[in-house]
Amino acid sequence: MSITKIVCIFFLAGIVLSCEKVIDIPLNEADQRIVVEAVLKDSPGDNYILLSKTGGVYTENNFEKISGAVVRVTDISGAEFLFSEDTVIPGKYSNASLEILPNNSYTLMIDINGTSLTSTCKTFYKPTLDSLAYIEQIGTFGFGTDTTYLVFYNFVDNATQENFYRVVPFINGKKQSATYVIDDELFNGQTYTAPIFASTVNKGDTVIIELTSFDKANYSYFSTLANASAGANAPTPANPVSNINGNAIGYFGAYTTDTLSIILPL
Amino acid sequence: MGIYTFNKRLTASATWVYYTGNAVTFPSGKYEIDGQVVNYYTERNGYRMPDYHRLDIGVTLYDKGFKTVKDPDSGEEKQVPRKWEGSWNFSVYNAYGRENAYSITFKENPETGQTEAVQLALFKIIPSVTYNFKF
Repeated sequence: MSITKIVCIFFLAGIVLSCEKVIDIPLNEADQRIVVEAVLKDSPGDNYILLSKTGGVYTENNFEKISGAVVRVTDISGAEFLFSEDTVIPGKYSNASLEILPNNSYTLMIDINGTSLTSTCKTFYKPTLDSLAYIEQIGTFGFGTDTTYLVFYNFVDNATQENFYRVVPFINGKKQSATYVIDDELFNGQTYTAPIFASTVNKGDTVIIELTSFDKANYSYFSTLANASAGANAPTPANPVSNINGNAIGYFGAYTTDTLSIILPL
Repeated sequence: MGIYTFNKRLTASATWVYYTGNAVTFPSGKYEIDGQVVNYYTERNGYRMPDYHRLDIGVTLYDKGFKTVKDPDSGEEKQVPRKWEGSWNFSVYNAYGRENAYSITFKENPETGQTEAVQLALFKIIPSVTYNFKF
């Protein structure tokens, strides 16, 4: 093929091919809503409750934090834990003495200048990660020579309960955006093995897998969270299903967890 | 749509397509949760995609129904009917190159951190040449 022909093809491709451009769409900005992110774990230092507000679509991502709220958590026996606001990070409330116990029930009560929000979350048995494994992959779909690893986790489900899980991978200390929510309906009481297929693991990486056991409301929240981001071919986007009662969005979770780590060969 | 016949061998056609956009759901806010920024929705199908329109034009040139051959002995030219009827068609899709929106995505600009509406348009001007024949 002559040079002229090649140039012609590129020229035609330039005319024909699709193009992206930034356009201006006026949006009806919604009233600000309260956003609750309440995470309680069986490792006491990891408890936190973040209170913030929604912002406009076209404004910057520095969302308004809510300070001065009264945040309390009670367990099934009625013991009350007061969460105090962080002195450095506004809108972050914590209580280092609360340790989430299995097969319990926790109630969250938040008072923000007279607006009260409540939520209840049950905990289940403490899960145990049995082991982590990996398989070596050379190249991607048979091309190239890069070595990557596919990391698998194994755990045994509790047969007597209906369980819901979330698996969060950390690679070299960085939390991965791709997490996995699991329902035990199809493997009740059996061993479950799955890879963290959406994350690329390279030679020498340290992978930490956190396995969380939570209730059905949290399962619904995390399995519908992905619906909020819509692509070109995605279905109509929607808000995730919240378990907070009152005029707020977000979630309240009391979690029993287990972690395991693996260092991949160099 | 219109077709105009200039003569036996040449016709031209044009089509104009217009429709209003489909109902779509756009965000009306955003918030941060679980370490990521998530869109907040209040109005399902509360917005409309931009109007869609385009103009397609084309001309068709029909072959002569015969070919002229020279008799090798007498040198006399005569017209012999062809065994098929053919036509050349030259057309342009989306003649004025309108960028019709295929999708509108709200995403963060990695440089400025601002959320912006990005429109993807699939086809601008597409010229084509076709040869049809029947026998």
